[in-house]
Amino acid sequence: MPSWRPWAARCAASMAALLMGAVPVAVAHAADPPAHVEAVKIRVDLTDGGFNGEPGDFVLEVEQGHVVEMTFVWAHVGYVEEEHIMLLEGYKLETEKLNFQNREGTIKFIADKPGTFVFKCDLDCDVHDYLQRGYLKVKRAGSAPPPTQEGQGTGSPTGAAPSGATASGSGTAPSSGQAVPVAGPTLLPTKLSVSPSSWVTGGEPITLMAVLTDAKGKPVPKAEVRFSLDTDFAGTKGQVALGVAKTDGNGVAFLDYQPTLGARRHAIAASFEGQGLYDESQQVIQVEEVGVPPSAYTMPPIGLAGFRHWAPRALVLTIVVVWATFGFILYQALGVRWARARR
Amino acid sequence: MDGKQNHQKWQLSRRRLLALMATAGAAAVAAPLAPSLLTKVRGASAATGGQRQTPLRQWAMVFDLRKCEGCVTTDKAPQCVEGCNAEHFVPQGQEWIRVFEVEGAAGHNYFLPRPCMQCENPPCVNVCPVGATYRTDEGIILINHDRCIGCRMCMAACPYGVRSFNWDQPPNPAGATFANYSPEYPVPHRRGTVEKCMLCAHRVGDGRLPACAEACPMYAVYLGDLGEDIATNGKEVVKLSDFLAANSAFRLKEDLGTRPRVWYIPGHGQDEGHDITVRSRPKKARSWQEQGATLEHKDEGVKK
Repeated sequence: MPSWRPWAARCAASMAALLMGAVPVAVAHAADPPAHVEAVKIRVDLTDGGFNGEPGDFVLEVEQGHVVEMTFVWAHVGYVEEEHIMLLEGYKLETEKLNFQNREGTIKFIADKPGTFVFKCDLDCDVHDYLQRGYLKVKRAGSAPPPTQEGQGTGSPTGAAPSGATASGSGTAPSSGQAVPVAGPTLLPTKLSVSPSSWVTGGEPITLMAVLTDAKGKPVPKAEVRFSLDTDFAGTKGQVALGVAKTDGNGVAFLDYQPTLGARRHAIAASFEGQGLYDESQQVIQVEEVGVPPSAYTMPPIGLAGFRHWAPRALVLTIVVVWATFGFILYQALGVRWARARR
Repeated sequence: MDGKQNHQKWQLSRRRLLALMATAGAAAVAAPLAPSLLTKVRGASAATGGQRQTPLRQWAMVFDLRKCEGCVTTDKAPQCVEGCNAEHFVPQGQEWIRVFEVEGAAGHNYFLPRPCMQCENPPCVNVCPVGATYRTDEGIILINHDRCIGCRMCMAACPYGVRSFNWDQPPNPAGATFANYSPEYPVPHRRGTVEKCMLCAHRVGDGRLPACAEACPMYAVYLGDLGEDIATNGKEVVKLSDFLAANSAFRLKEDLGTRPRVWYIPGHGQDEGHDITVRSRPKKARSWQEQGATLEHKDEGVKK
């Protein structure tokens, strides 16, 4: 009769083996992935025009087994009262409420379940369904092993995709394009054009028009365009702020400018600082003054100066009136005299 | 019959009289305007002909009191005063720009540099019996010491007390005897005449900052041109009207109607770390002799 001890020992060993093997699985399903695991970082900007400014389906792809860190950045320019709680369905994860004050929310998880999962704003409406909806495709693990341990993966220190991560997330990905992992904020390129690009003025005012578009030529609305003037005054070179104009729905901003500088040539720079979402852009235009610009300051006549201003006119008028009256009387008198003489 | 016709010929109707009066009135109004119209036409032709006229400057100054701490944090005398002394060889006992320690309404102290206010309606000019003190087209009040008779009427009239009188012959730097005197740069100084700050007319005309602005280590002194609506402290350039409006600038004794061209931006040197609870008077500025200023090196002044 076999003793129960060896059986118990085998059972204990098996249980121990099972438990040890189960540890990575438990970690893999944990809500908070281990800190030492390098994550595939994905940034999604929530803009007025949808995710990363792209309305419609927005697809990101990652490979099964990767640790994914999705950062949603509230980046509205126009709709500043918008609030979002971003949900990742299937993984039952959500960010905290994102708004003007709290702009960033991150969810970090292990993409252990293959499939396509919707991530969207928790607000149900047609606009949000269209603008704030995307898909996370978790592809089945391929041949390359996912880097789950520090040192084993070959991810770059900047947070670029670890090797084997054929799928990735992106801050700039088009709706169906390949995603590229990013470590920091991705700024969308913009183009600023100002008209007239140069002009010759005789000191008369002009309206400057700036058109701001993104890389695809779409207008950037409600963006602040700053106009400044290059100057050299009393041996000091610098830029004088002329004013700030906001772009309208067509990405167009206007600024009225009255030249006052006596310099024959000067440059006006229009610049857009990006507002944290876009890349900076600038354009410089040249102005040539051929006339004398009007003075920005007119000193009103004071005291004696005021008197000196109108007194000569009044004096001349008085003299003319007196002499005209005298001439008229003389004319009449002579007329009478001559009429009598002719009789 | 002939007489009657002749009488009708000479008779002046009311309509004719009115027409004559209107013509005479128009001529009277147009006559004084003719010179200015001619000037405008000449200006236009010059502009189109490529000979562009440079507009006249309208000089102004701004003191940013947020930056002015009387140079107490640097443990030096006010550098604006020393710069002025060295530039103009200001006689000892005079200070063409003076830095006052002022007690504010909250019991705090702050510093107030006071040069000549270059008033638009200057009482000193109005009272001068010989026309020795005058206002230039660019807004600087100058004194022609060849004319000044030393009556000191202007000193009595100036509400800011910026003028000084040379009771005795003030010392002049070596070589001053042969210097070309001009109201813009009144060297050598003369006995029995009145002197004051003249906004460094000789410097600003050459496109340089006044000596006080150049010497200020805190960049608290701005030179401005109201015509171009621009000002600089040697470090930055600002749009003058916006700068004044955005910072609640004020002028001294505005209620007198003198229209000073010196503005102040309220503050107590906070930008330069001045502690308002510490009473610290500005140090006495060194004279030009103590600084070793000479005519050859007058442009060097006090450097930051």
